[in-house]
Amino acid sequence: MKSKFEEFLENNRQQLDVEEPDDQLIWQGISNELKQKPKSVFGNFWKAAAVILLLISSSYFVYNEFFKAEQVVYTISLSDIDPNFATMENDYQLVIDNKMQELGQLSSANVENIAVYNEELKNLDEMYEEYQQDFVELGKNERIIMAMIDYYEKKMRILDRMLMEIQKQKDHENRQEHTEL
Amino acid sequence: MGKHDIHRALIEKCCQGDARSQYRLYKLYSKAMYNIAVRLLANRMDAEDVLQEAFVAAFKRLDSFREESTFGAWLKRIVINHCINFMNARKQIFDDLDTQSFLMADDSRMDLHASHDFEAIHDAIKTLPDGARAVFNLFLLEGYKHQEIAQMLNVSESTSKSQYQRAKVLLKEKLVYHEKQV
Repeated sequence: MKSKFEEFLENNRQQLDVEEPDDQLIWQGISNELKQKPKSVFGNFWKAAAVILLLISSSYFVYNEFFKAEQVVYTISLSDIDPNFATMENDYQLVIDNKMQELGQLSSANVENIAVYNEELKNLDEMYEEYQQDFVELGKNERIIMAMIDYYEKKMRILDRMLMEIQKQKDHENRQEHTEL
Repeated sequence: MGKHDIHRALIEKCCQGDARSQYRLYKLYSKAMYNIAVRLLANRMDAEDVLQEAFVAAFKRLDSFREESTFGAWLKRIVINHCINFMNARKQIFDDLDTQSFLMADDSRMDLHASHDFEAIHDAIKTLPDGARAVFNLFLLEGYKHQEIAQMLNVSESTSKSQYQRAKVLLKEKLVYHEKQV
């Protein structure tokens, strides 16, 4: 049986609501959360499509770069523009070839991890082709020469980062294996 | 237009994402829902956070409101569920109690001179221990049965009953003390 006190509280239940909420603050939070765009199925579809496209293009690029025998042969090189740069270009090319070879041996690892670098390499090669075009159109030009040198240096840096990334991945896998054992 | 129809029209607009209607609906229930939350959680900031989450959840699944109950009852259930989840996440666990000692507790003199000071009662409820506070709120103020409370809080029915007895005894002590102070 309920006491009078319990009955009293039940009968006056609404009068117990004595506190005032900070409506401005609470509504602000609600409103902000409701404004966030819901993730649409369509958005996810395009994201998935973009990822697949990236994977296909990067695999194609990796295949072309590392496994196909013929490498891209540029019609015009630094040594053609200026024989003084021939040795420098040879050195660059040698270092790049070595790194490419190293990558070819390692790249069976995680292609996804290095896809972004492949994209950078691709952009770089496209730019190099543009420099060549510029050279045909504009003739010998210091700016183009500097840009071409810059191309080699950038390419080496990207290859270094790719190698580092793959090595990191391999170390991680080794550590995991070690822990599991 | 009756209250029910006004609500139905408001709810329909809210479902279409009309921010002004959402705010109106919020304002209609914010005070009642906030007081439920703050009495259960005994903390203003926690109650504000939980109320925000509960309203967002309610607006997001407003189209699932079937009018089998009133909108207020539907919303109250969401708020209470969010409060309970919050308490569980904080591991506000029930103390082990000697059930018998509280079932025997004498609450005949609970009829007090029952101070009609609602603010004092509200504040006193907030100072109850977690378990007793939850059961007292859910049973006496929100109208749940001990069996339902036991399921909601994942305790036995007898624990729910003993916590309720404990809450009444503690509340009485607190209110008697308060009256003496006044």
